[in-house]
Amino acid sequence: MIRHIFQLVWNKKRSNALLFLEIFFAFAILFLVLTWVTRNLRLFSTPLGFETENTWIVHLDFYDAEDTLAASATKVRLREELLALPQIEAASYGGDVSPFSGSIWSTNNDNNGFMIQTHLVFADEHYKDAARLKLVQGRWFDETDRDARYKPVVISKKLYDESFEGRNLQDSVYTIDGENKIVGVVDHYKYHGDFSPEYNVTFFYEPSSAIDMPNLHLLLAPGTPVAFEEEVNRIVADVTGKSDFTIEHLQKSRDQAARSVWVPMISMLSICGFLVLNVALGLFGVLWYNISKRRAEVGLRRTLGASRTEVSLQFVGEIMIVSLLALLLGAVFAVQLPLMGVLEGEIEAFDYYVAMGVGAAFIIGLVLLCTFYPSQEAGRLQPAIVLHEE
Amino acid sequence: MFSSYFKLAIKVLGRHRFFTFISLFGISFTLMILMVTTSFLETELGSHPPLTEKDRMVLLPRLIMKQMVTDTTWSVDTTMLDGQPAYDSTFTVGKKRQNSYSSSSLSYSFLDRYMRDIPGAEAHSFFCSDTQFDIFINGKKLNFKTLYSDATYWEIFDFKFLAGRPFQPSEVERQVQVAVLSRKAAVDYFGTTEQVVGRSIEMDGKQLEVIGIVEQPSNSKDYVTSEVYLPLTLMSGSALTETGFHGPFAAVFLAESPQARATIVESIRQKADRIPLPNPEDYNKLELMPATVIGLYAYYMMPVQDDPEGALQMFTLVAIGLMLLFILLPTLNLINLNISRAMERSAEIGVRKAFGAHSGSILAQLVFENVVLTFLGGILGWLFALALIYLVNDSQVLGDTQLQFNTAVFLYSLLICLVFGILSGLLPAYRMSKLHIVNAIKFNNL
Repeated sequence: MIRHIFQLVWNKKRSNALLFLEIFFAFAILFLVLTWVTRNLRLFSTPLGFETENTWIVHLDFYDAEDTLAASATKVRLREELLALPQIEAASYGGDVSPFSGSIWSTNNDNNGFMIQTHLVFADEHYKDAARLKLVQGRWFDETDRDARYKPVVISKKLYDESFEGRNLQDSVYTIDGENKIVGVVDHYKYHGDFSPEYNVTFFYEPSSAIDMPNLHLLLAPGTPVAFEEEVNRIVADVTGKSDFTIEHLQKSRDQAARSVWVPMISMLSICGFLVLNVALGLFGVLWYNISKRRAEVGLRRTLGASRTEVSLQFVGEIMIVSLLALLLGAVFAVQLPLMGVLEGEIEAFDYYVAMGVGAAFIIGLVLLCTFYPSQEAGRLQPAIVLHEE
Repeated sequence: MFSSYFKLAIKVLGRHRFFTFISLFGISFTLMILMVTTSFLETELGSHPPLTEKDRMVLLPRLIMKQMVTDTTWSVDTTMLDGQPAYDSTFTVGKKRQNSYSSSSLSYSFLDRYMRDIPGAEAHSFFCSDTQFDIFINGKKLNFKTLYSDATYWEIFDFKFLAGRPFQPSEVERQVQVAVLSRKAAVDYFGTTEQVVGRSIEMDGKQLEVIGIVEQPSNSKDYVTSEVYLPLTLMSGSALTETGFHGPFAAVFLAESPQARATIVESIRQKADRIPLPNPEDYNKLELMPATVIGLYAYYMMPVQDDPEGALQMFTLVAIGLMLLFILLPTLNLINLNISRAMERSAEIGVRKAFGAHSGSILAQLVFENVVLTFLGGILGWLFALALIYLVNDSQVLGDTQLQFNTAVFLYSLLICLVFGILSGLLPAYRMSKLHIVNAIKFNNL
């Protein structure tokens, strides 16, 4: 039966070649787009690890301050005055690398005898509460860290798993950026956005009063009205005597960062959907036409005793063979990407294989759907009528 | 002759409605997407105010400092020579390697000192486009992006003034507190664009007099898109006096002609080699990154470090590649359908050939019919494209970018239709025209 169908396919190789090409390219496009979508969804599924709702960041700048001591005092006073408001639950100063800003500060070394690769984020002792970070080990920074002999750091769980698993954190000093003592491990900190990979992160301690901690994170009580922002703006302006600061709504920035992935992803998927629909309709049309050309053949087979299902199966089988061959060729090409580790680090083998599976399954489903009706019709042909026509 | 082809084409289309629907669906959606893409590229990269002279501009958005070190390796070989150890040491100087790297926009003092007299530049302007202010008005927060510039900025970028005028060199020099607003900013702040000139806006602790209102640029380039435009002398703090090389500024140079841009790019690059670095122990190599408007656009889209020309090449390749891949499927599909449809007409073609028609004229007829079909699809696609552009603009999916559908896009679309029609009609038509008369007539009952 299968051999027989192969023969039939081979006999019509010229018209099947086009079909073959069409399915091959449909798979290729579907594979590429789905790889990218799978990667994005995989990244989307891990938590951000910090609070964005009801969080504002006041972006200040103290770098041109002439009297740094006075500026430090101003910073501390500003924090206290804002914290005194009932609407503000927590306030913390952070370094220039703030969430969703796209800034990165990274370092890597193997000074400890093993590789450490990490992003650097500067935070004060209040950041854990302001961002609602979840600690899985140890503690967050506190006042005593100010004059610690070795700079205390908190690392993310990802960095812990990658470089510190099974090592002693309690009594050891590691070189990350200078000599550091690891005091805690946080669960997640995916600060580039929902669709960003989770990088290794190390928090370095800086006190709130430091000049190079310009961004004031505020955690608001739920249900704070938008109008409250004007009051915050006024207080910041009064205390600092500045006007060139902005207040960022962290949730908005998060949505925006996510939107810059959602929009192209959805447009790519709809373009892909259209292409596939186009192919499906074409397939349907060609099949319909081919079957109507082969009415006599069907009539003959039916008179010789073939059942309806056998006739239908033959048509489905023919198209299936062509599609499977095209998919096989597509898979041979596609599997090279994970095997050669193309874009390793950005895209994992998992993404490629999921995309291959989903793409192939989708195309097979589509082909079945498109062949179903025309081949049913073929099965229903009455031998007496079609043979009479001839 | 073509009118009879045309009539025939319409007749054929009416014969198999379902097939016609499938073909038209494919064609119109393909063309719609191509048209929207063209419209996008035209909006982002075409010559519109304020970038009408974009082909004469060279931008300088970035300054790069590197520390290059040479690796030197000592190796000592010990050999036994006559029972005595002998030492043979070699000293190899390796390749230059980059050690530290720092890349950012430029400082005003650097531009002022080194970038005022670039050979080949007719005009130049320095500006700073990364300041923002929160303004509260009637309990509503407005976030205004502010661009500080000198007066020549307005000569290089031909903004369309809805009212008023740009600021003058003398106003920049005397630190006159004036502002030019974008239409959106005027509407947000004053509720109208009528009679706003002369009124004042409170920003950065200053009362600024509005002297002009400009039309919003339709694209998303940060060196022209802003809400408020101010004279650069109004910048607070030490932004203008800071002596480091890195700062918040960028520069634009206007060449006499598009060809003359190469001179500017070259002289900026050469100049970088002659400028002494302030702290050679940290950084010993200075690079400037001049870029054309399109080059800079590609630079922001492509992961190519400090090389706008390389980025542009990559961008072009990727864009063409994606386009081809995208056109390929609908074309294949259409070819497939066309072959089936044309086969049906083999009797008709056989008869025409029997009466002496050339293969060439059969080919022409079938391709022509397909082009008619494509243009029908093109009209539909054009309507869909207009609707989609309206939706995209309305929902502001692309941020500030407002897609346009102008004559240029229309002409491109016509060209796309024609190419698509010929491409997808050629193979089936060729096959049919090569059909043998006897076979063509035999296998089909008329």
